[in-house]
Amino acid sequence: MGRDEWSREMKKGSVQLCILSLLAEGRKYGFQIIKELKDRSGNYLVLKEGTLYPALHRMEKRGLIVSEWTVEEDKPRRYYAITPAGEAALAQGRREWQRMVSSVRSVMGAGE
Amino acid sequence: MNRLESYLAELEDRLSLVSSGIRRDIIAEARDHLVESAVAQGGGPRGMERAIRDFGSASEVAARYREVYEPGAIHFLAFCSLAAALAALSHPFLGPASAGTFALVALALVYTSLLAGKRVGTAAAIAAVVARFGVHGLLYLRYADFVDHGALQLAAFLASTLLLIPLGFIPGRLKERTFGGIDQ
Repeated sequence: MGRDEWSREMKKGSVQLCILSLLAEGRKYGFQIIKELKDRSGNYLVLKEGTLYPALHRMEKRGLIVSEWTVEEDKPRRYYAITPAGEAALAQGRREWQRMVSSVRSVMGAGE
Repeated sequence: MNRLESYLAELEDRLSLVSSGIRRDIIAEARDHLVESAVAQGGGPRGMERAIRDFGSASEVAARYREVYEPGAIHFLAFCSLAAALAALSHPFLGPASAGTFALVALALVYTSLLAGKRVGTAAAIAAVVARFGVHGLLYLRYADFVDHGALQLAAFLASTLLLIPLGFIPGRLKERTFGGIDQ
């Protein structure tokens, strides 16, 4: 298993959690989310940009986030914000993430 | 047509099965993203080319959206199976209750088309037509004398069966044109 494959597998579960975390700070639009994910992860969470939007739409269908169109400088822009259900999912996700990190660390530490 | 417009046109084409309202939103959002991304990448045709490359091919992006907005295979199969089962029971040979069952098939197709969209409605209608013709064929092979009531009855059977196709298509299409809302 190569580096890319490990990276892809690990990102898969964490991107949604990171998106919810960013939106918990305030509403954001797609390009902003992509840029913040990239900058704040030290260029680790670099998404194929076109795949972020379907993911956001899926999260909206699940009620985790909500979108709203606004007009900025005569251009329409879609902002996303976290919902109460999204905040609950984020809290649960954070707890699960901590458990996973600590469990994996224990297992990997035991093998060293 | 410039590169941005040709890319968005291709994306829109590939999303033709998604309802028009959602499609419009997807294209507007992609346009906003690509314009901002192109500027961030130096602007001009080269910046736009990079922005499109980073966004992904239209086929790849459209496939992701279809996963979100088109009904899954299980729902698709459920609608088609229900329509086919009801249609099979609506064959006129199966007695006086078959007329009521036929009305039920028609209502089920209208409901499917409105609920799941014209694509699923049409697929369910085709399943119903195939089922009715299939039952007719089987009955004809087994009980030819009873089934064959002449050209007029056969024409009525064919017409009523084929009528199911527009019943599966038109309500969903009208809903889409009127509301442009969610297609499923």
